[in-house]
Amino acid sequence: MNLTSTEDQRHIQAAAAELLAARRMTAGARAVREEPEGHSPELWKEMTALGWPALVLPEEHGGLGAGFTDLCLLCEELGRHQIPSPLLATVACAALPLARHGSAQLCAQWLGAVAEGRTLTYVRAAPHGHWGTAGSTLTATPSGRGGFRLDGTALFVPYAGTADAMLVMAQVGDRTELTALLVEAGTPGLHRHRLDVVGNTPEYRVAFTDAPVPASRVVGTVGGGGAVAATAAALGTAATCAEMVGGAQGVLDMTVAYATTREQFGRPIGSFQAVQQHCADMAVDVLGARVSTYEAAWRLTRDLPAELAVSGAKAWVSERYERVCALAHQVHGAIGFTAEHDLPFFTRHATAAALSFGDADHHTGRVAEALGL
Amino acid sequence: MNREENVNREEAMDREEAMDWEETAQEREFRQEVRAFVRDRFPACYRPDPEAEHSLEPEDVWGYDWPADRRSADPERRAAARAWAAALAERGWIAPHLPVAYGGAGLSPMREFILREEMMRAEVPTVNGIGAMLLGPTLVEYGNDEQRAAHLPGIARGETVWAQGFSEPDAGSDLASLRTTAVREPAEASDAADAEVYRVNGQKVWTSSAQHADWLFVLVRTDPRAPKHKGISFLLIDATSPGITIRPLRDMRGADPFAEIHFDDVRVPVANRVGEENRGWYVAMAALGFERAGIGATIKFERVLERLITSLRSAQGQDFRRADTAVLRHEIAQRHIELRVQYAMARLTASRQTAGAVPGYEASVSQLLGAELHQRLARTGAKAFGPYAQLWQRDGAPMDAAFAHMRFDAVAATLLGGTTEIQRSVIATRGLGLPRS
Repeated sequence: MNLTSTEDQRHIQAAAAELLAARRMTAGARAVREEPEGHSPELWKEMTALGWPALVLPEEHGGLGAGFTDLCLLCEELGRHQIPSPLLATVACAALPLARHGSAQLCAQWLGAVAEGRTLTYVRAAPHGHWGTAGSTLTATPSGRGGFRLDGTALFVPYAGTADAMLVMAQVGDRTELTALLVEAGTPGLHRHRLDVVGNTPEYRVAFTDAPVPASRVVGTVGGGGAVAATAAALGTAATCAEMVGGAQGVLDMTVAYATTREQFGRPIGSFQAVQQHCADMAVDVLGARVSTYEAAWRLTRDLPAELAVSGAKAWVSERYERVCALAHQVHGAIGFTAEHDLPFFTRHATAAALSFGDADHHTGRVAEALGL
Repeated sequence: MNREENVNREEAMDREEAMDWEETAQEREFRQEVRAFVRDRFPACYRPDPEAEHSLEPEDVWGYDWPADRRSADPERRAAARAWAAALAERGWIAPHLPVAYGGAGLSPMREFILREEMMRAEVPTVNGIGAMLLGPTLVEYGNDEQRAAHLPGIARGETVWAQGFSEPDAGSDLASLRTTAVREPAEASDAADAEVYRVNGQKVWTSSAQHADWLFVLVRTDPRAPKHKGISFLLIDATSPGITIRPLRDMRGADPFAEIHFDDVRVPVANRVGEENRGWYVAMAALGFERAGIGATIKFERVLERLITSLRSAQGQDFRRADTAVLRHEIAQRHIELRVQYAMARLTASRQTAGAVPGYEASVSQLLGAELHQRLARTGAKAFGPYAQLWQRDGAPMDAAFAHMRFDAVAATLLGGTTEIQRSVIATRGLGLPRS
């Protein structure tokens, strides 16, 4: 058992940190907030050239064949620097599930394209927004020759505006079993509308009106999409945890730096016990977030049972990242509430990411279920 | 190169893949070895005492207090405690991290982690924890050859039991303000030929298991004029020295887990000082830096949570279980999640120590998290049984009143070995580098 990083992993993470720190002014959450894409396409090109989207994809499809944990390291750095990027949605939520469940033809067509910079996203649309429930608000109606017509509306689809294709979870007729479809961006009857949301990730409402989907775009089997959704949710949850770990670490670092330099009563506020206690609590939260996230990521990398680890991590990380931000606001005082400060971007991220793939209550409930309570 | 270094190098070479939570073949083999050892060698007649309150050491097992058991009035228990110590000592597993030359096993932190984890899962008692875990590494680092030769083998064989005399009535969280004095004086006729001595006077308090100890390691003031941290020395004192009075203290549960110690003109050879005179504070702080991963307490909590879940599903448990369980269900899941984090953190600490990484603040975080988790776990467990949670008597109580008692044990968890406020300050200043107040 060795929980320290390899030379390669340290190298990946350090290189990512260096690039992202340098691009923060042009590609950070503040810089891209008003941009139509919601992220920096220039930075995405750079990431692609560096092999980020290809990193964990299978080698036979143009990937570099690294483990899922390595993707999490990149997500962590994106979170730490608050750089919105379609990497997580593309790779964790769509390309990897596609690699695992998709036909040879779909994999050949899309995985190489992702390695070269095409982006994907994931459309879940569970009824009433309930996380983890069966069924979908999107209906696929058989239209002959194995194809479908897709109808319905989904909320909170990240990076839908620029995605080249979407991994869509639909139900066929009234049956609640899911069917996974890969829907290309140019499909007629597909409408995307950017939502005004709390977080830094561009989220969309995606509507399908009689949108044709050929039979060849079914990922896995008709009615067998539950397995695809489970893969997308597990990998997406763990990668989101990694992004949140990075965010929480960023908040802790910025808060310690502030408490060390900001003076009141003639000394740094970090020398006051009350402030120290807040910072210590943040450190506990961040370390716990990191160990639980990377244990979950390792289980997913090794294809071991991961349900408890993933849910445990998401429950801890969601609650603790929000607490870290709340304590950071307390230490920063009024300056942290201003528009000019970076802390609010982390707070936005914490609030939104906690809600993505299920909040702490949801995952705690899943753990209770798994324990047979 | 000695054997320990060889072992560590082999382990380092096993470590190809990083962030790897899977045990190596050698680690699995070692785990099996520990299991087989406990199965074969733990004396069947050494059973937990169902009436006993828990020892205050987080790494101890329910129902056992080895320092007391080895001197138990019951000859069978006494013999069993000693037989268990002797069996562990054969392998060097009382003080597994100590060098083989001193009776340890030279185990890496990762192997020690596995050893402690397996012992805790088997619910067999830790032997000589204070001497082995606190004093042992201190003597290795700061003691001289004579001191190491004189004391480490006794610790590793479980023959000498130590207690730690740090706190005083007026020196708790502000430990460095301690007032027990040690005045150096020339040898008297009664002393060994050239032995200079310290004359020690003062009082220590809250000393865990002092009444069962053979020796004490004690912080004393040797320079009253120096700034408070710079006038302290670290002494090894024979508990049977004339002038020492040890009086057990009764706690809120009715147990006597600790004692106060009075030193009245106690003569201690200068040769029993560890480290330089007036540098004892730094020796003691380093000893606190030898904190281990704290895996024992984590496993103990895991097991009690499993027992709670099993009990709630059992017929007897159903009779005691409260009717409204929505919040309880959520709380139990939360405790499970927290324990999982705590376990992962302990593994991370051991793994980093084994890999020779610069120690971070993981050990302090583990300790803090563990102490507060202890209290939350006790509350959750008690809550499960509604009004029956007030049954202090074991008979006819849910889970033999385990949680009623644990709530009281846990009161001490956030105080002993440094309050959680002090732990947080340590994390803030030493871990995060915030300025000292």
